[in-house]
Amino acid sequence: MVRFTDLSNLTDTAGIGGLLSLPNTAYPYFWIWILGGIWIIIFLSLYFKEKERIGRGNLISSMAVSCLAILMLSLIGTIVGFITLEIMIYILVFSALIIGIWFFVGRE
Amino acid sequence: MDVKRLFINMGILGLCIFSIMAFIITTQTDSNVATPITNNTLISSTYRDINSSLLSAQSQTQGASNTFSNVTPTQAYGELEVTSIISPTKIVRTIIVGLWNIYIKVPMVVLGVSPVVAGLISSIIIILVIIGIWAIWKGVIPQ
Repeated sequence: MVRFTDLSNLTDTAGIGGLLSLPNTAYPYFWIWILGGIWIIIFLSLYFKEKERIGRGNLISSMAVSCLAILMLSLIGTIVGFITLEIMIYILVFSALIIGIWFFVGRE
Repeated sequence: MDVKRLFINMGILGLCIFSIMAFIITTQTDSNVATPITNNTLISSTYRDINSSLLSAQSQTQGASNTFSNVTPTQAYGELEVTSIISPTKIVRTIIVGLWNIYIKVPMVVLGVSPVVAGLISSIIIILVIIGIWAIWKGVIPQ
């Protein structure tokens, strides 16, 4: 019989970090999906806001700016303790890649 | 994209990635994070390589500047001192290719970017650099 992680696995001294890192014990990539969702929300909000304001949006710059936001969020996550080293490296490399592409194709 | 823009973009991108990594490392060290990103040897070595590459860029360009400033105005009219432009363009090539090799290493390992893709982009960059440098030399070397 499979025993899944639940709130009973929390200790009394776990704190907010322990609560937030609880999903990682069941599925290590839980927070990468959440942060990915936040990234898509920020990126599309920026893109469509820019499109509404000036008539045309810049897709890659919206992606790069939202990558910076996600980097800051994941940094806070590592400090609180729910973002693991592996997830942080994935986010850092993905962000660096998008920012790099932005440097070479984003400007006119 | 001309070689000057490529060079500036590479340098600024290096500075940008370096500052992001430095900010993350400093904040994590100050907050006593249990597993900082420097625990990963690849990230750690990339950070060190970018740092040393950007630092060496300054010293190398200083050398080129000295070569340029040592040119004496005694040459005959129409004859140009080509070494003063060859030296900086060689440095530009070294810095662009060197920084590119540092940048591509991490995505290849972490995200699994195919060596074919990396090789193709490397070829494009190197060809752009060669053509760009050739264009600079062509404008300087007397026919």
